[in-house]
Parts: sequence; C-alpha cells; structure tokens
Amino acid sequence: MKRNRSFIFLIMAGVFSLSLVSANGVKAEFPERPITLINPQAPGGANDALARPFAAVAEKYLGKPVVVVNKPGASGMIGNIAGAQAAPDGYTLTIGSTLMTIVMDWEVINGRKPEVYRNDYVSIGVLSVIPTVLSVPYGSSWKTLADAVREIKGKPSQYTFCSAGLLSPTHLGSERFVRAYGLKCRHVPYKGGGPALTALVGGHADFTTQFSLTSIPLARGNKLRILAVQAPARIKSIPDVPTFKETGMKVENGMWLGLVAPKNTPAPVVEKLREVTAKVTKDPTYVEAIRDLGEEVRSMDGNELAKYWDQESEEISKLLTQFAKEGLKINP
Amino acid sequence: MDAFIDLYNGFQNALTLHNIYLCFLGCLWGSMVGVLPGIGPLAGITLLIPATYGLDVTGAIIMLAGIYYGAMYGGSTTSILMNIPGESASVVTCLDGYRMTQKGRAGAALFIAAFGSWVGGTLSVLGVMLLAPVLANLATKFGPTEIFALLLVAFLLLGSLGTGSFLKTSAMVILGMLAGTVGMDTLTGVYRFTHGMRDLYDGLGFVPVAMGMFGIGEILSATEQSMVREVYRPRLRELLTNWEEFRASIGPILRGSGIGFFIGLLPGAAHILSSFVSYTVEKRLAKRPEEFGHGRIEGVAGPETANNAATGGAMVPFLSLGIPTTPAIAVIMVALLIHGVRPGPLFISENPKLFWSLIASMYLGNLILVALNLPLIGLFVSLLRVPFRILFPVVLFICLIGTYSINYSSFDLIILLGFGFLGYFFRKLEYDLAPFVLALIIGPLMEEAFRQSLMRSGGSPSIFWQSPIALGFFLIAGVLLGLNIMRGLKSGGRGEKEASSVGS
Amino acid sequence: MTKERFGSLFLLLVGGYALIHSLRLPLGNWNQPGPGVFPLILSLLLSAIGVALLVSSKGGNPFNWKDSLSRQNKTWAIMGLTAGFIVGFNRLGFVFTSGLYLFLLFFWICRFRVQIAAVLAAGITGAGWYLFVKILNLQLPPGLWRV
Repeated sequence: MKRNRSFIFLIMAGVFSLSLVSANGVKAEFPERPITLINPQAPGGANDALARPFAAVAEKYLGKPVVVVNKPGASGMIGNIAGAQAAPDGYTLTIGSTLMTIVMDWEVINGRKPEVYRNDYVSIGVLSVIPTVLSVPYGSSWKTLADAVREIKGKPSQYTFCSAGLLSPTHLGSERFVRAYGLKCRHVPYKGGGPALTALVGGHADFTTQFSLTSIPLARGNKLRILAVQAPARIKSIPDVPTFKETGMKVENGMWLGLVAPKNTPAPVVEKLREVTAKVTKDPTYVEAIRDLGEEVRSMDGNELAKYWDQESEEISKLLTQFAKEGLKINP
Repeated sequence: MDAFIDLYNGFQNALTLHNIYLCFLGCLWGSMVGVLPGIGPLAGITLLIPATYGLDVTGAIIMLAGIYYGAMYGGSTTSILMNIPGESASVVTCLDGYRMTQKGRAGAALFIAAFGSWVGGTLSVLGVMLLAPVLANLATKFGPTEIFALLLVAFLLLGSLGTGSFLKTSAMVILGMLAGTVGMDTLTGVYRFTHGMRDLYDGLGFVPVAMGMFGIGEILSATEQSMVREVYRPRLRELLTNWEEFRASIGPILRGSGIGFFIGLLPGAAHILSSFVSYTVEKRLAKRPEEFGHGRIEGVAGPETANNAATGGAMVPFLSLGIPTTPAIAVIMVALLIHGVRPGPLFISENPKLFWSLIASMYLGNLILVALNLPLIGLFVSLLRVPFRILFPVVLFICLIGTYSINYSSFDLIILLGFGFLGYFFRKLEYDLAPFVLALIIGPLMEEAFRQSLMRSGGSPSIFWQSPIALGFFLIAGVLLGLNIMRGLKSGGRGEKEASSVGS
Repeated sequence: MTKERFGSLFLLLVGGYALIHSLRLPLGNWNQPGPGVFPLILSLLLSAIGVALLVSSKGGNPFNWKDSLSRQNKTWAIMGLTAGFIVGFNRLGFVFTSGLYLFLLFFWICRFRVQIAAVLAAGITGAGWYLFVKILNLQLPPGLWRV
C-alpha cells in the first residue's frame, strides 16, 4: 500500500513537472519552438517534394526544426482550413498553391461561401512555379502540336485526354488547350498524376497535360512524347520542345507552390518568415535539392505572391465560370 | 548472366558496414511501425526523411526501402495476436491467424508469417531484378478496362470469404460496397452520402473501418464475457510450426509469392488484393475449405507471403517507369528527388550502382527481418500472457493514437469507434466481417474502372471486348461464376457452417 | 424478434436509406452511368436480400432483450468513454485525455483499485508519450499544458 502511494506520487510529480517545463514562457526570439508546416495534400506529391527540402534548409536559418505535417482531404480544404484557423503566431504555416485557388474559387463561383478564402491568409513567399506540358503516348502518330490539333479537329469527340482529377491544375491545362483551339474531346479523370501518366504511357488516353517534373523523365525514357510546354519560355532540360506561344496560341498553365500563414500573424513574425523563405530559395543546398524542378524555380516574396495570387484567382475564376455554365456539375 | 554480375557488384556496395547498419535501422524501424496498428510504412518513411538528408543517396534509399518492406513483416503481428489489422494488407491474416492464436498456435502462425514473408520478399526481389523492364510494360497495358475485368474476378472471389450463408455474405459484400461509395465521386465531383460533412469527402478510410470492425469490435465483444480469459502458456515446441503445418504451407507460400508479385505490379490501390486473392485461392484449392476461417495455417502462409511479394512488385513500376503506385513509394520517390536522383525509365541505366545496391540490400533486408522477427515470436506470444483486463485498454489506446496519426483527424477516430460498434453488432448477428471490409475497397475501384472505360469509349460498351487481357479475365470470371452457381445449387443456398464457433 | 429478423431489418433500413439518397444523385444515362447508378443498384440488391432473409428466417431463438442489455453494460461504457476520449482529445491534449481515459477504463471497467488504476494509466500514458511524441515525432494535440 505505502509503496503504491509513493509511486503514484512520483509519477504525478513527474507529469506535473513536465508540463511546467514547457509552460515556461521566457520571451525569446521567434521561433522558440518547432514550426509546423501543414501540407494539405497526401504525402509524396509535388508539395512534399518542395516542402521537405525547404523544411530541412529553413531549420538552418530559423534555428528550430520545421516539421511537415500532411493533412490531406477534401481536395486540400481540410488542410487549408486547419492552416487558416491555426493560432496566428507564426508557428503553423500552410503550403499554399494553385490547388487552393481552384478549390476556393470554385465554391465562390457556385454561389457558396468557402469556409476560408485568400484573405484569410497572409502570403509569405513562393518556392516554385511548376508548368504543365502536353504529352502523347510514345507510339502516337502525332509528332507535333500541329498534328494533334489537326487530328482532333478532324474527328471531334473521338479523342480522350486523361487528367489527375477533376479541377486539378493538370485538368485545367488540358481544358485551356482545347478551349483555345476550339476542340472537342472526351475527358477521363484519374486519381492523381501517377495513374494518369500510367494510363497515357499504356496508350489508354490520347493526350494529357501533366507537370513538367513528372513528364520529363518519362519523355527521356521514351515512354511518351512532349509536344509543347504551357509556360512563357522553353524548359531548359527539354530545349527542343516549343512553347504553346511559339506554335500558335498563348496557352499557359502551371502551379505555384509557396507558404502562407494565418491572416493575423504579427508583422515582425511575417517579416522574419519572409526573410527566411527568401534566403532558403537562394541557398545552394536547397537549389541543388530541387534542381530537377529546376528550370522554373521562380521565387517570389510575400508581396509579389499576394499580387500574383489575386491575378491567378481572377484568371482561373473566368475558366471555372465557363465550366460551371457548361455544366461541369461538381458538387451540385 | 549480366544481371548476376551486376548483383555481385551491388552486394559489394551494399555490404559496407555503413549500409548494413542503415539497412538494419530501416528494417527495425519498419517492423516497429508495422506492428503498431494504424501507423504504417507511410508514416514511418515520412518521419525518417529528414534523417536521410545527411546521408548519401545509396544509404538513404536502402534505409527507406527497409522501412517499407519491414513494415509488411510487422503488420501481421497484431492481426494474428489480437485480431487487429496493423494495416490494410493484414486484414485477411486476421481471419485464420487469430483463430490459430485462440487455439494456442500463435507461435506457429507468427513463425509461418515471418517465414512466408521472407520467401515472398526474396522471390519478389528476384523478380524485380530479372524482370523489371518487361513487367513494367505489362503493367502499363492495364488500363481501366483491364482493371475492371481483374476486379470483377476479385469481386466474385469475395463470396469465398464467407463462412456463413450465401445470402448473409452477399449482404455484407453489398454493404461494404455501399460504404465504399461514401465520399466524392472522382469522375464527376459529386458527393455521395456525405451530408455536407467535409471529413467524409474522401470516403470512410480503410484503416479506421478495418481496425474498428475487427479490433475494436473484438474488444467490445470480448469484454461482454468475463474479464478473465484463458491464457495460453505455450511451450517452446509450440512456438514453431509442426512438420505437418510446415509442409502444408509450402504450396501457399509459393503461390502467394507469384500472386502477390503480380498484383503488386498493377497500377492502382489494389495491393491489398494480393493477400486477399491468395487467401481465396488457397481456400478454393484446399481439400476442406470449410475449415478456413477457423485456423488453417494456409490461411496465414499464403496471404502473408503475398503481401510481402506485393511490395517487391510495387517497386517495379517505380524503378522502371518512375511512377509510384503506393503512397509509401511516392514518399520514397520524394526522398530520391531531394537527393538529386530522378526516378524514371532511365533510372536503372543512369544509376546502375544505386539500383543494384538497392536490390542487394533488399535481399539483405529480408534476411535481417526474418532474423529479427523470429526470436521476437517468443516475446510476442508472451504478450498474450498479459491479463486481458490490462491488455485491452492499452490496445484501445494504441489503436486510437495510431488511427489519429494517419490523417491527424479526430473524425477518423469517430469512424473507428462507429465501426467498432458495427463490428460488435455484426458479430452478434453472425455476419462475416471480412467480405465487408474487402468489398469496401473493391467496390469503388470496380465502379471507377467501369465508368472510366465507358468515358473513354464515349459510352460504347464495345471497349470491353476489344481488349485481349480484359477478355481473358472475363473468361476467368465466367468460370468462377459458373462454379459459384453450381456450388450454390448443390448446397441449397446454405453455408459451410458445420462445427464452427459462433461469429467469426 | 430473433437475431435473424433483427439483421434483416437492419439491412432493409440501410437499403432504404441508400435508395432514397442515390435517387437524388445524378443518374446519367445508359451509356454513361452517373454517380447515382451504382449505389442505386446496390441498395435495391440489399433490400432484396433483406426481404429474402426476413422471409426465410422462420423460427430461431427469440431475443432476450433484458438479458442481453444487462450484459452489455460494459460495452456501452467502453464506447461512452472512448467517445469522451475523442471529444476531449483535441481540446485537452494528448497526455491529459489519454491519462484520464486509461484511468477510467482501468478503474471503472476493469475494476482495479484506484491506486493501481492510476499507476497503470500514468505509466502507459507516459510510455505512449515517449513512443509517439518523442520517438515517432507525431504531432499530437498539445492541449492545455502544451506537452
């Protein structure tokens, strides 16, 4: 009996003192403890590929670890909401991207008020902008963009494109393409870029627009052929592939990836975070680590991002409005 | 043969002390996260990525791969001992594995699981080594139409999982498929059965459902009976299989390796099917299939081998095309990218040293794992000696935290509890749980593949008979259906419940 | 009311619910089935099976409600406690909620003495904290005490 009592006392004391230790609030510089970086996508995507090196290098400049936490679900909304509703103290950041814009604007266009919106965040910076490219299976008879356009025009509604999912950036890329040229195609959505590319490589779709990051290795391995790039300039690792602009219409599509924080984060904290982000994107370790996303590493600072984000939202909203009108009835 | 020379060099590279150490760490870590229910290879790999920054790329990938297939070894432990599937692929192991534990043969089950896992893992590495490029091409030939045909075969096999009446098993299959439709339909963006709850947009989630129905349901049932359960005190001899059991397992292990490897190759979320298909195949081939579900060792040997073989198979599309087919491999890919290595079709030719070191380390890793897991059998079995009234709260606790850690979502915990109740409920009513849980996965996949095929063909059903692969599977499906009907007519619609213990 | 009938009623209930909801979903046409088609077919099948089971279940042991419910006290209690855990988890934090949950399970359900229950609860919570937070580095809710 006595033994039990003192044992219990010891344990209680232990737990109690543990809590004391952490509650110790000496005012020190931000950050005092590890920072959480919410990734609203499932592990292993482009978000992770950029966020994790960022986290590793940022630790150098911040002095405290940055831990990436995946909170996937509802096309990213679960993570977005968690990020917006987190305490605005700079210890919880969220990975912002075009996916956010799309999913939030879609709500707006359909007359619903999204639970969080752009103005619930303050922009910290951009890590990269990844463009999409138009690819066809390697065995396809289409060797140039002109071939593709001609063939598709000749047989309306006979050709299929696959996408990584409805309203994903890669889906938008294909939609921009077909609308710019006035084409009619069938669309088969898949669950993610991997399955979409697998389908294309196997010849189960006629074309697709996927991120350069994932398409280029397959092109080099002769599993598919990239016809054109949906970016303002050619991509360095595939210098022979023209941009859409060069061959006819200016069709651009891509996804930006960056960091955002909850909107009421105090200004000095935001400044510090922006500073660190800028430093990281110039850090050679980081640049080396994402060399393969390489060419289009455009970093922007917080203010640039805010403007860019607004512009993007406007532009995407136009496209989404068309979808809504034509009855791409998603979540009716 | 060239391959073996390269392999030899790969071994030289992989067998540096440093790399062996990393391989060991990876396997150890993988086993640990595999044993913990809910936390799977994905979490394990994700957690260790920061640790790999300081390593060279060979060491990093050796370690991460070790975690990946290591977790497959650990996943069967809780399935066998406590009827709690450690992760999706281990659900089928619960069926006979747990029964064996209840009969006092836990050690044998764990042993054959470890042994089968070793054989399956090693054979699949052999497959990767020799056949990767060829198989990758085969895998890409599986488009929606072919996948639908394959899943149709799997669907027809679901009926074999039941030990009760045909009607009841069918009911569970349909319920499972219905439960699988919850969430956003990826093809049209329409939400089904979500009632506006954002947490349901992505569906119910296999792990909370399976852990809930099997594990929590089991606990809830068990606490209804007395708190003092019979404790088995196995002797050393009983920690291993006896000769008869071992001999019976050889066939399932060999077949499981092939089945698992092949299914692992395929794109899509079909990996859990590897253990499931192996189980149903073994059941059909057995002389006394009605004993399955009551503690046949083939029901553990086959599936466990298959799910380890599937990890090897899953590496094939990744290594030869650069496309990850499971989330865990996707994370490994990110790790490679961070180290400056580009996965893709040219991965093998551009990084031969890395590739062969990886292959060599996979052989090594499988050996390490079996060496790690065998002695632990005694330890695990002795866990069963812990009085139930201490054990079950701990198990509840671990399941809760494990489930939470998947998506950091409390809603998943609600699903866990809810399905725990359903598991308890169905047990009382004598309905089988396994068909439900597997239909949960197969149903939506089948529907998606079917509709994708029709979308591709613009609505014309001719696409289904234009593909030779699909036709092949349809043929198999037809044969299976015929067999099912014949059997159904013979036994008059009743099940195989003869000398069975109640429920499952 | 027998077990069999109870089961069939459950199936009919779920089938009916699914039927109603799937009819509200877009059904598409023959060539391009919409999202509602599959659940619709399933719900019809389920209801059919429910009816078949109901019809074929003649006889069987009648349910003894009172007896059953009294034995189920523990089950409901465990579920209640677990529900409480889920609710409290995010607000009160991992350590506190787990400790309380385990303690109540040990003391109330398993009928250990207070001291032993407390020790077990504290010990397991501590071990869990060490494993999940320290070793596995999971981001569990810190709750009130920021542990």
